[in-house]
Parts: sequence; C-alpha cells; structure tokens
Amino acid sequence: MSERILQQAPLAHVSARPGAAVAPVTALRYFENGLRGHINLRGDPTDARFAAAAERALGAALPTAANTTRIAGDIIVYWLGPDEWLAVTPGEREQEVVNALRSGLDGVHSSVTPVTGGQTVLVLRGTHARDLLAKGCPFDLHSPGFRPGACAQTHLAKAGVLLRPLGDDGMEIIVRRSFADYLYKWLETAAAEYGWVHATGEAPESRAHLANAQNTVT
Amino acid sequence: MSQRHRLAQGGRIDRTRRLTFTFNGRSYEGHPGDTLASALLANGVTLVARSWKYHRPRGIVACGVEEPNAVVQLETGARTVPNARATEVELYEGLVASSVNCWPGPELDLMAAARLFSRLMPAGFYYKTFMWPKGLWMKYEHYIRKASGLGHSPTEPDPDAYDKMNAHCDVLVAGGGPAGLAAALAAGKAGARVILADQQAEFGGTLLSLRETAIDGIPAAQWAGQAVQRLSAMANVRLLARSTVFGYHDENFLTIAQRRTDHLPPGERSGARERTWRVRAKQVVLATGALERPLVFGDNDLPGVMLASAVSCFTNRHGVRLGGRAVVFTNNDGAYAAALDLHAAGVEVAAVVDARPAPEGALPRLVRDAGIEVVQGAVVTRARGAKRLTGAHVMALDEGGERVHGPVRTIDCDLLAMSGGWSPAVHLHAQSNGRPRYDEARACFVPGASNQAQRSAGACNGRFDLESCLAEGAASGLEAARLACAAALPVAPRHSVSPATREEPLRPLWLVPATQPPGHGAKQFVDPQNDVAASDILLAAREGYRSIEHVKRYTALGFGTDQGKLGNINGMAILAQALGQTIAETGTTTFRPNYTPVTFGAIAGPDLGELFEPVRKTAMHAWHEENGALFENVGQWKRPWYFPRAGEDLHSAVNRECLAARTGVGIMDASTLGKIDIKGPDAATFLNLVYTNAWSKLAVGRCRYGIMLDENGMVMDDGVTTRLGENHFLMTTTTGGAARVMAWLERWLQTEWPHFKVYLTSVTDHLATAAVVGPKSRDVLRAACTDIDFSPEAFPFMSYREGTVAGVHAIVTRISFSGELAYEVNVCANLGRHVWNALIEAGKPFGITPYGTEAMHVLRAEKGFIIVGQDTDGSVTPVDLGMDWIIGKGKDFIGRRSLHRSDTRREDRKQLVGLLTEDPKTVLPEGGQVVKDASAPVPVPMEGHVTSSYFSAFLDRSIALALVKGGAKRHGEEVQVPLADGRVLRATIAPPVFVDAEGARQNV
Repeated sequence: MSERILQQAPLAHVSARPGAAVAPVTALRYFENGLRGHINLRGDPTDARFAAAAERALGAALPTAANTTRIAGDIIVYWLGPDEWLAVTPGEREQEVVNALRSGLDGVHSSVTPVTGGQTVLVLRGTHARDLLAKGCPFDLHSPGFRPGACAQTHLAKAGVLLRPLGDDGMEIIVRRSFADYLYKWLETAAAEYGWVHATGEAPESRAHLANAQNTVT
Repeated sequence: MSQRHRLAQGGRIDRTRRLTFTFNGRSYEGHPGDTLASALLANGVTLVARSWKYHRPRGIVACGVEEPNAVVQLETGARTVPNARATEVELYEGLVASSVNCWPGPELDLMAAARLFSRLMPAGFYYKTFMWPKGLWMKYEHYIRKASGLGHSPTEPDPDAYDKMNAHCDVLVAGGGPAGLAAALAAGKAGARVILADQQAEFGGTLLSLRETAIDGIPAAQWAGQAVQRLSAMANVRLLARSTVFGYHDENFLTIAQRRTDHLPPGERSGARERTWRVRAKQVVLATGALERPLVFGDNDLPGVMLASAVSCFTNRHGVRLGGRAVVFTNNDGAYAAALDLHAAGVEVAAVVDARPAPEGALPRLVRDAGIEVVQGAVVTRARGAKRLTGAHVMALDEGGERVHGPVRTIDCDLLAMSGGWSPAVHLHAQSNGRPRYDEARACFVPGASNQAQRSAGACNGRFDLESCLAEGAASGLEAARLACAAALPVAPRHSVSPATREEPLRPLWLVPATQPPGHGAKQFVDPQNDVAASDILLAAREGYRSIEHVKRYTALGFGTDQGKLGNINGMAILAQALGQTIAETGTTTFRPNYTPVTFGAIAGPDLGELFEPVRKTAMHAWHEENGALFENVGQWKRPWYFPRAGEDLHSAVNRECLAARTGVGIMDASTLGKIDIKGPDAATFLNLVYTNAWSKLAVGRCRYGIMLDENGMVMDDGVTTRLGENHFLMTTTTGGAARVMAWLERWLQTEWPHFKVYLTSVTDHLATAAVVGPKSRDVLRAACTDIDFSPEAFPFMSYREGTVAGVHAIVTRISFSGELAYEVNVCANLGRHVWNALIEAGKPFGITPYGTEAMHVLRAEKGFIIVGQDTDGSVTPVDLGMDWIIGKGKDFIGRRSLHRSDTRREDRKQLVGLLTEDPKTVLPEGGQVVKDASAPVPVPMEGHVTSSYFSAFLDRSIALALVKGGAKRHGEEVQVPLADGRVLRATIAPPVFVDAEGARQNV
C-alpha cells in the first residue's frame, strides 16, 4: 500500500471537477498545488549554529528581511517572523528536509514542525489576479514593492493567508486546510466579473519555482 | 405631452435619443444626459412631492445631493429604492418612479388636510401631544410614522449582488469638479498613485453647468472632458465616477460607494450593483465643492422656487426651460449668473432682487447691461401661489437688515431663483476630526485645522471663484503628491479663466424679515424636508433650548434623508440670532458618516449566505456528508452532530451511538480540537505556569489533562497535553478556544516571559484525529495497526505511542473523553480520510459506529466531564467544579492568586453538581433555573442553573449537570426547576459523576 497515492489535498474535490473548456481572456485560472511538504521552522537567526544548520538543510540562507522569500532549488522559504519561517518542499522531499533540519539542529534551541496536512498552496493566474484579491484583502497588493521575492501574511475575506506574488499576473496563496473550501467559494464568487477557470493539475511553473528565481530578493 | 419645457438647443443631453419613463403612473419622455429631475422639469412636472408633516405641495429645489423634496420611490418589487433623489437618478429607458408621502398623488393629496392644522403643530408637537398616557406612545408612534413616512423599503430579498474593493493610493481626491480635476492632474502628473472619485456620472461638477466661461481658452465643460482624457491616459490614476466618498475614518481610511448599474435599465444590469471601496490614502485632497443656501422667506417652499445654481444647471446642462417669467433673489453676485443664463435661454427675467444696497460687481453690471431690472436693497418677503409659484412680494430692506419697509411690490413670476450664499461641503473634513470654523467675511463655515493628512481645495475651502478653485486644486494636488511620495516636484500648473469672475462680498441674510413676526404670517421654511420653519427654531429658543444639538433634535432640523444639507446652516444662524450670539459660538451639529445614504447591500458586500462566515471543514468532512451526518456549528467548524439511520430521530440516533461507545466501539472525528506543538528547554516550566497542575515530572510518553485559568482564576480552557520528548509537548485545546489559547500563550511568552526558550506552532489543521472509543476499541486498533503493542501493560491509559496505522505514520494517544477504553489516532490531514476509511473498515467486524458531538456530550456528561463554555461561563473556578485535585500546591500559575480572594473562597459559590430528576424520563431544560421552592413569593430565590442535560441510554434515565450555590455540600437535597409553561420539575442534587465513578472502565 503506497502512502503517497492515498493522500488527499484540501481542495481535491474541486480539482476533480472538469475544467472549463472555453473562458474569457480575462478569466482567472486557478490551480491547487496540493500535497507539498510544509515545514514550519523556528529559531534564532542570530545564533550562528542555527543559521548555518538551516542553510545546510535548505540549500540557501534563511531570508531575514521581513516579508521576503528565498528560493533554493525546489524549496521556497518564506519569512514569517523574526524567528519563524515556512519551507515549502516537493511532497516527496518533506521527510528528507525535516530529517536534515532536525539532525543539523540537534542541540540547538529550535523547532522543526511539519504542517504539511494543515495548509495548501493555491495559484491564481490572470491579469486580474490582484484585483480579485483586493476585493477581500486590505494589504496593498498593487504596491510597487510587492513583487516576486516578497511575501505577505494577511487575510483574504475572512481567512488568514500567506501571499507570494508571481509576476504581474499571478499570485500564490497559502491557506489553512480547514478554510480552503470557504476560500475557494469566495474566490469563485468574487471572480464572477472576470471569469473563472479551475485548471486540473498543478500550476505550470510549480514544479520548479525557477520562473521567479531570478527575482529572488537577496 | 412631450417635453414642452425643453429648450430647442444646448445642454449636455442627446436629443437624438428618447427615453420613456413613468412618474406617478404617467408616461413621459426624456433624453440621455437627463436626471429624473431634469426630465420631469422638461415635461413641466413641477409638483413632485408633498411635505413630510403638513403635506404641502413641493417641487424640485436643487440639482444634486442636497435636494430635499424630490425624493421618490424608484422602481417596484424587490429592486425598489426608497427615497431616491430625483436630482441624482440618471434617466434610463423604462424607469418607473413615484412620489412618496402622498395619497393618491401629489396633485390631489388627501393627507394635505394636515395643512389646516399646521398652526397647531409647532416644534416638539409630537413630543408634547403624545406623551400621555405614557404607555401609548408606541401606538401613537405607529400612526405618526405612517402619516409622515417617506419611501418604503423592499419586502423581498435583494436580488442584486454587491462587492467590496480595497485600494491604496498616494493621493485620494474626493470630488471631480474644477478643484478636484486640477488636483488630480497635478498629482497624477507628478507620478503619485491617485484615485479621483466623483458622485456624478460625468466629471466636471459645476463646470458642466457653465455657459460662457472658458478655461485655458476652451469652454469649461470641454476643458473638463480633456482633463478626464488626460487622467485616463495616466496608468497611476484611477477614476471612479458615480462614486460618493461617504465616510472619512481614522488613519486616512475612506469609504466610497460606487454605483455600477443603477443608471441602466434593470434588464441590462449585470455584475455587482454597487461596490464599496475601502481606501487607504497617504494624502487626501477634499474638493467636495459647496452647497448653495436657500433664503428663508414666506412660503419659500412653493414649487417654482429653486436654488439659483440649480436654475443654471437645469438650464445650461439639461436644456430645460424652467419657467416663463423669473425673479432672482440674492444676497451675492453669483446668482446673477442664473439671471444671465435664463436670459440667454429666452426666459424673461422680471427682476433681480438683491439685499445689498449697491451691487456693482462684474456680473450685476452684465445683468443691467442685458436690460434686466436690479431691485437693490430689497428682499422677497413672500412667495405667492397655491400649487405653483405665481408671484413674489418685494419690499425694501433697512440698513440693519432687521426690518422691511415701504410699499409691497408684487412681481408676477413662475420661477424664483434664490441664493443666500454658499456653504462649503465640510462634511468629510469634519468626519475626519477636522474642526470647521466660521468665516465672518465669507459668511460660511470653512475647514479648520486638519487632524489627518488632508487638505481642502476649492469651493469646499471657501474659494467661490473658478480661478481660485483651479489654482488651489492644482497646488493641493501637488503638495499632497509631494508629501505622499517624498519627492521634489515641479511647480503647479496655472489655469487661466475667462471672463474673470471676481465677485463682491455678499450680505449675510439668514431670516428674511417680514411684515408679520415669524409664526404669524406665511411659513418661512428652513428645512423643507422635515417641515421645520424659522418659527419652530425661534420657539425652541424661547422654550429654553440653547444647544444646536438639542434644537436639532427638538425641531427635527436636518433629520431627513438629506441630513440638513440644504437647511442646517440657515437654522444654526437663525438660532444664533435668537440667542443673541455669534454663529461661531452656536457652532454646527455633528457631521457624521455617511455623507449620503448608503445601501445595506453595499455595506454587506458579498459576505452573505455561505460566505457570511467561514465554514471550516476537517479532512473527513466529505465522509460525514456521504454517511448522512447532520452538522453542528462549533466555532467556525462544522462538526457531525449525529448520524441518523433511516427512521431515526436525534434521540434514537444518539441513544444508539452512545450505547455503541459504551458496549462496543464508536468512532468520532476529533480533528477540530486545537493542537499546539510546544518545543524548547523551558516548555515544562511554561506549562507549569499556564496550567494549574504540575508538568515537570510528567514522563516522556505520558499524557495529562490540564485546566487553564485566566488572571481572575476562572476556567478558560482545558485539554490533554502529551509529552512527546523531554523538551517537546503536544497540547490540545477546546475546538472553539484554539485561536484564543494560541494568542494567549504567545502573549505571555512574548510580553511576560521573553527569556523562556519555548516555540509554539499550531498544528490544528495539520493533524486529523479519529477517536476510537469503547470496550472493543483495542481490537479495532490491533486490526489497523501492527507495529504498536496495545496490551494494557505496554500501552497504559494516559500514554502515547507512535506507529503505523493503515500504512501511515500516526501518533496514537490512549486518552478518553467518555470514560471508556479509547484511543485517538492522529495523522497528517492529507491522510486523514484514508486512515478514517481504514479504521471504519477495521472496525466493521466489531460493529464500529460513527458518532457525533451530541453522543460525545452525553458520554462525557455521564462521566461528569465539563465542557468549557457550557458548564463554565467565565465565572467558574476549578474549585467550583470540585476539581481541587488539579490545583498544584507548591507552584505558581496564572490565576493562582485570584483563587485566594475572599470571593473565590466563598463556600456558597455556585458549584458543579449532578441533578437526578424525580421522573427518570424527564430531561431538564438546559438553562433551567434551580430553586428550592417554586411556590415561594416572587422573586423566587434562585439557587443555580442547569448547564448540561441529556437522556442517558446507558443508565436509562435523564442526567443533568448544574451549578448550584454551595452545591458541593448539598448532595441528596431536593430542588425544583420551574418551567415557562408552569410545570415544576423535581430533582435531587447528586455527585456530578453518573457512570463508573471509580474510573475502572477506561483502565482496562
């Protein structure tokens, strides 16, 4: 019995529906990049042992500027707070990265907590992606500084979200599992004026996050 | 009848297209570019309403938001809009509107009989007349409202959609008239992110009503159009038409109502009807313009009496011929433009009556040059007419402005254009906590000191000539951009205006003197919408009212849907005169949001129905749905309530589910419990402080129940925490308390104990939890999991093991909320459904029964386990619950000191007990009051209340938990629970544990 094939992403029931064949050009395309590895990391970045061990395990130094991300190969690291990060990995790499972090951080005050089942990654693509989100998000999504390499913890409608801009016409939304269904309905409703397509499968750029790698804030 | 009052040419209307509309059941025609008001006037409909109190005939006075009379019921059925201002309603094909507050119509209004009694209905009439007997006020009020009401709200659900949009900008410009356009151009050109909002369909404001004026060498309206084109071409500028900035809140947060579809025929509307913009602006430029003041003279409410600016607007912008013979009554130069506009449109202007003794400005000269008589140093004391103006009485005004004298000259006219000067629209400035101040020279309130990043420009800042408006607008826009963007910017553009519009000062004129004292002659209306006359304000002053806020409430001045935009300043000035004080001393009433009425739909936006509140779902939610669960809301979660089989009701389903858990095996989705991963060398010390009991000595691999208190010593949460490692714990919280507890713990860590080395991570959503409960639960777990030794010796009660359940890594805890042998299986939620399926499959040979929250409640109540928030209410200590055993003696914890207060140590506090009803089949109502003797004289002393109450199928009798005064020592005592229907239920106080008091069943 393979564990992998038994997994169910929070919005699997939506992804199972057939995608729309015809849609207006303004339509927003939606993808769920489910079943990623999500690892919450806590520690003191000024502790050299912590920083070094994290960098070794993740393949890049932790972003320490507020609200930024760093991409290390197929891992994205999000700054969540002065001592908190989220690492999103390909699903099959989760355990390996957790193990690497834990062994590297042995004896260092830190916390490596998988939250894989607790959240999911949604991707919106379309020229109106930011307009759509602005309907429910008080954060300044059109701010010139909010571009690839940044992230923001805010709320969308009544769900807490972590946002990562993917160029001018794309946005990644990380949301808690239990809120995903509500948020999907909200997105679909709010998108009515632009058109809405839920695409089957994962967002095209999602396997490697390379599309935005050159924009990484360093 | 086809637009017989339409001018042959001119105006911003499209004469090539005709729109048909219906008013009061009659069909009319208008053109694109018309408002409902201009179309009615073009058709000669001057009587559009009856007044609120006296049912006097009323016509259109203004051309914008300040219109007090022409409020109509727009459309019918679910889309009906009460109290729409005809002056703001854009005409569309098929529009249907009717007058409000008259029956059967404004021409023949049977309720107009009220006029005969008007002398008997002074200020405060309703308060004075209907106050006795006191108890009947509610009844009187019903009929008063019926007779005086305005429009009626729709009774069907709103079929339209609404939405919201958040936006941020460097500069928000409120108002798209000359000053606003100039400000937006300057700020936009400087590169700032600009939002320009204007309430009308077309930007330009008063520029659209100007006839001859040119800006930068081109006609004013054309200049506005070009400005809009230039703004549209700027990517950094967002233009919002049909958008009213209605609220100015703290931190430069402004709210804008954008009407997106109301201008279209109902059949052509699509998408959200209205959108509420929630804007954070670094800088705000208020360019909201000014509202012209009417003059207060006798019968000034007759149809045919209009504001001079409205006369110009309807004539120049809408091409309406408002009358055959007009009189202009003014105290300032501005209204002379109306005389010239009428003259140019071919309307005879009989005279301009000017209160000033010697008006010699540019405009008066032009009027004289046109051969129009100027009657100077004179006033209109009274309008003449029945349902329509037929003439005006003109008398000379003395030097002091307090008396009229000389002969009465009657001038025949069917149109009277009046102007008492201008009141800057300081509403948003005042809402932003600015303090308007009275400017004596200009006789108006102007913006005072600002308390937010904001400036006013143009007419709303008391600049009433076009040149100043444009210059101040441009300078303000540039300054706002400079401050917002912290950049050096070019100089403000200069706009030239021709002909120059320098004006002479006005002569303040608040209450026009008459031959009879106020209250004796014709009514001099101040607030036509609420039928407040000058005499009402003077009466209030005589009766001792001093504060404008009180006079407002006593007379209803400014209480209408127009919120006093037309009349309030006159009312304040008249009160000031009566009290012998200055207008500055009298002050204004409070300008509150919203500037104009906002629909409930716009406020609610899309947050309705299933989007009203998030519905949180577990990984097993779909299984519950597929298996017929009914759901219960627990916080934002949907939890299975019970799983009825065919023919079962709640009672029989819950009985079956409970018996399965007590005698076989049940399974419950416990995923919603809050789960917090706690890590760090100080984790145990931290737990010692946030829980009442001790944690340092809990062995790794063991679980412990804890109670959390607030600072007052009251129970705020409870749950089981497992020690996963020396420095590693997994805490569970109540479902509803999860977020609160997380914030509470972080607060203590971050603010009080920052030296603790502890990290908290919420794993509530990450772990899916299946509770397998009952004597056969061990068998089920053994079938589903082969790498954990489930023997009682290897895996004792209150401990945990990690292993593989259904091929999946799982944390299995042996804890029990039912008192039975039970296990909770925690797995990554992506695998939750898979593991749940496997446990159901493994449990089939044992008759595994899914159960919901109702059975869970019964099972825990049988054991006397509390539910925080049900058996406690924030006023209950662990001692009150009989849980002294959980209070650590030799250590500190949050709330400890409070447990030693005299009040928390009282022996007669309400304490948790069990109640056993005399009739075992009767279930006490939760919330029922516990008394000693229900027949005692009222008020019957109350001893406590029922907190939890169920029928226990296992015991075949009802059980209840209650909080009863001194209950711990009253076991065995008989009490009564009186019901609302008069029955009295009898019960005996008992210990709160009904099943297996020794706890043997969970220790097998």
